Amino acid sequence: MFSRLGLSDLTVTLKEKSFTAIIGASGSGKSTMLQHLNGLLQPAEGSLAILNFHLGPNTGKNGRSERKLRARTLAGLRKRVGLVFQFPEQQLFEATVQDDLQFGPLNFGYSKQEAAELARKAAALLGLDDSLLQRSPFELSGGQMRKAAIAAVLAADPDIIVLDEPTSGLDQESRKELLELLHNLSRLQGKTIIIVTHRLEEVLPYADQYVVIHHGKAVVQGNSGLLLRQPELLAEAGIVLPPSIRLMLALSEQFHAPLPEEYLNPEKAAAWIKGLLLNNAAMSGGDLYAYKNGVRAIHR
Amino acid sequence: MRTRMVFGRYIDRDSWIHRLDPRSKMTAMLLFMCAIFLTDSYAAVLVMLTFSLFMIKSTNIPLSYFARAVKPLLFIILFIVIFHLAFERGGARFIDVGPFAIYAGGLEKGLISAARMVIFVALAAMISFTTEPDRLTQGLGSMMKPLRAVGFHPEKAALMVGIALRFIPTIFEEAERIWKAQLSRGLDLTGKPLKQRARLILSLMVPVMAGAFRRAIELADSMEARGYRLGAPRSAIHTLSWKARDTVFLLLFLVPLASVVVISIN
Repeated sequence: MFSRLGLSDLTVTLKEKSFTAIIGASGSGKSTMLQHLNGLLQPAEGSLAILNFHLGPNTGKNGRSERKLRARTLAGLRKRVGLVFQFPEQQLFEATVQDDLQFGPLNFGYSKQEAAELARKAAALLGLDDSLLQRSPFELSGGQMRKAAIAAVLAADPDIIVLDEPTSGLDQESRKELLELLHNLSRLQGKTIIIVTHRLEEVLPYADQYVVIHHGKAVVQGNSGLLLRQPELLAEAGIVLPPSIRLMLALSEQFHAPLPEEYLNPEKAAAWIKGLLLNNAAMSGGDLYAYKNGVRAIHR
Repeated sequence: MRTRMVFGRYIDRDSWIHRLDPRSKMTAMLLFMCAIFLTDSYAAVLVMLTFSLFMIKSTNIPLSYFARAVKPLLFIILFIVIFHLAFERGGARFIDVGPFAIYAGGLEKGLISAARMVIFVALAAMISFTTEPDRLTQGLGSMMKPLRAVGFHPEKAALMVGIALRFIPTIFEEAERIWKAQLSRGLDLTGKPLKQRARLILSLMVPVMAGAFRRAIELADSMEARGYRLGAPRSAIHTLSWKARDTVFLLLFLVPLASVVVISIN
């Protein structure tokens, strides 16, 4: 009575060094999927290939040598895939922030010096002041704790960073700051970022790959252009379309113009709209009246 | 996952035991505890076991739940058995194991202690399985009323127990999540010396404790925000009512108690 299939028929191929957003309503199985990414959960059937690690089905009846092999694979996998849980600040436990940041690197076999250096780097990356490092993590503010906890995962220098709703509970400014930081990590340092969220508008400016999960299945997989073209699938998966996308859809319908290739940031969107208006004006004989009419259509 | 910890949970089934007054169940458990303390022979264990199985059957809850409630104690039970085996010198000498010898008396004491523990934990689990936490708290408060005369606040104690029971599964879920988070950060206990393991376990204990305190403060605030005052009189939606079946249930528990007493005297 307790066994419920969390994920089924889920085939997802993610590119390295990309910024991927996994979108789904609550209960869609996105967190379950994410826990597979570093082997916290293991498939009962099927298999998982991440980097050069392969995890077959875990039947729980494996022999000793197989268990050993699996444990080694998991240790290697976890070193290269960092997982940031929802509300990661709840995992902090050491006496100082510095010690907490070193916990991961030390576990993964770095020397004391290397760990200290990695911790310092991760803290700097998240904009945690050096003076905070000697404080107790429990003395920090909520936002700082969140940053420290994310830094604690980054400190182990993983190649793939998976985050479960990292922005929930943060204010608007911190949300943007965090997402920009993650974006930079993938752009400048070649890290693969996988972020799980139910807020599409938050990741639209940054993500270059999307996976929409519904009832444990990937229903859409591709770039933002693909999302724009399947609004009904998104609605079915329980994802609220952000106003910017709704505007683009409405404009495209109003002007009988094709949708843009992918999500447009405000500047690009303005240019696209200008193009629509000019085109519209040109078609109706180029008079200014039609142009104004077009503008009115947008405002309506 | 979240079903691993079953002790202290309510399992909704339709059975006459579910419908009993919580006070009758708790009083019965006191009787049962007395009987368990007096159990000191295989025959008595057999009586207690039969009686427990009958009760468990009556709850309409699968036996596996009770097994899972006992499971966390397996280590302690094993320890008790081994302790008795190693140090009891009564009865016939059974087998020689290196420098130790196992005596029949040791085996008997060990097995009986283990059985007593298993039986008692299983039946204690029955109370929480078959009684909604609210009703349990209410029953507890009601039973402790006489203690008010000596300056004891039954409402306070009942509330404390009720909240504690309610939070067992929540805290376990949180612990599991934090455990996973630390596993992700490379926590690995295998092959580590005991001292280091103990240190690593701190990475679980500290956040769980911190979380428990955080929850407690939030809960206290939200209760006060909704007008809860300690010691103020409160009404209850469901009042407890003692019915004939409660008396019957209680009397049923006299059967094992009497049998055990008789067996013990003979």
